[in-house]
Amino acid sequence: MASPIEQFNIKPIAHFELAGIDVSFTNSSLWMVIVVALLSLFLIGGTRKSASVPGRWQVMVELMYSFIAGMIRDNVGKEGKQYFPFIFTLFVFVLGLNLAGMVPYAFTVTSHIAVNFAMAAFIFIGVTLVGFAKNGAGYLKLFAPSGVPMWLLPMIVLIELISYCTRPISLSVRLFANMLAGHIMMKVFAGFILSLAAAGAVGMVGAVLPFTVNVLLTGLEILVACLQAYVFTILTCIYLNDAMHPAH
Amino acid sequence: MALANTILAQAATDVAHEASKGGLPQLNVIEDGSFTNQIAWLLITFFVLFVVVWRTVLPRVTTVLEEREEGIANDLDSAGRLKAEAEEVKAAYEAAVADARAKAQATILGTKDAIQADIAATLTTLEAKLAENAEEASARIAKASNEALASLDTVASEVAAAMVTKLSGVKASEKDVAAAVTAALASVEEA
Repeated sequence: MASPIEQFNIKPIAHFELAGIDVSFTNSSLWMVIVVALLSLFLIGGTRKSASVPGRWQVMVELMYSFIAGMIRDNVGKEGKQYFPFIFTLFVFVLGLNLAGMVPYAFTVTSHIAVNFAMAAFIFIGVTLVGFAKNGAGYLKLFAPSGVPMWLLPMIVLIELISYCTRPISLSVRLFANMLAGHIMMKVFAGFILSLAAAGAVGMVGAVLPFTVNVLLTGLEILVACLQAYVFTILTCIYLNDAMHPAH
Repeated sequence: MALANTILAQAATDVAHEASKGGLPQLNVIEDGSFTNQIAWLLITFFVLFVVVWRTVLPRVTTVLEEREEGIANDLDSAGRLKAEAEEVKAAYEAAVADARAKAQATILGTKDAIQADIAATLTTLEAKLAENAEEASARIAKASNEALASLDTVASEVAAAMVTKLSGVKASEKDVAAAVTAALASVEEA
């Protein structure tokens, strides 16, 4: 029987190399392309008519727009508007990849730490650059909150510095671990169904239990897929807010 | 239960076996070199989606939302204007009704007065005419009575003359009889 972690194997489809670097098209790349194609179809199709009285499809796109616009307004403020395209893309991209992973036989791109860490690192470097560009050396005030006693300051600065530098790790590992654990659990319970069913009539009846669990797990994993996309995006907004207003 | 335990143990062995072969594929991406192709395709696909969102989707939604807000504001505006207009028309209508009512009242009162004046005038004329008629009648009566009284002398004279002739057989002269009657009447009147 297939191992529960076999689903995470990267399988090359076409081999490419660019300046000695492996840029092969793999099952991971395939699902990124599929998700981006479907998202583009959904977003362009939904705004195709741009009707003043929207249809259902347009309402879905508009709801996503207002959702992300509201998130940026509440967490970053008015100045955050210039990052709207990036935040919106980030949200729909992660959400699309997470949800695509729920399709049977699909590959869950966000279950790979490499992809998540690349996104988190990009956000971390971007936010740090924005912070220094907007505030200059004043951005360092982020590490020294006002109102802290002098004798406590060195420790606070150290803690703040560590927590700041671990942001890309926590951001990427959170998404990776959630996707990994959920998909392993579903595969393990699916394995139980097959093992029990193979064990005769009693096993057939007993297999109903892991089957029920798997149905419930599927619902839970869809929730987790949406929730983690939301968490990933809102944390990016909060980091961006720190970069805009470091003195908190 | 024993069956379930066996199966759990089997699953645990499976995972452990797979892990001993090299563990999670996610943690082998540097060894198998797949992290470069994952990141490369991440960059390509994310950039494509970003351009689609940035150049096409968001401007479209922004425009449609702005247009809708504008449209709603315009509609509210014209609704307010129409309401004000309707209220004006209503006020004008009410004023016209009040005016018409007042005019009707005035006409009724005027007509009533005119009729009453007419009645009074007719009555006055009638009374005057009646009074005239009465006067004329009384004048006629007085004249008739005077005439009757005047003719009384002649009648008395004729009666007296006839009586004298019958009683004495003497034919009295008309002149004497008349004088005697007049005297007698005068004495009666005196008495």
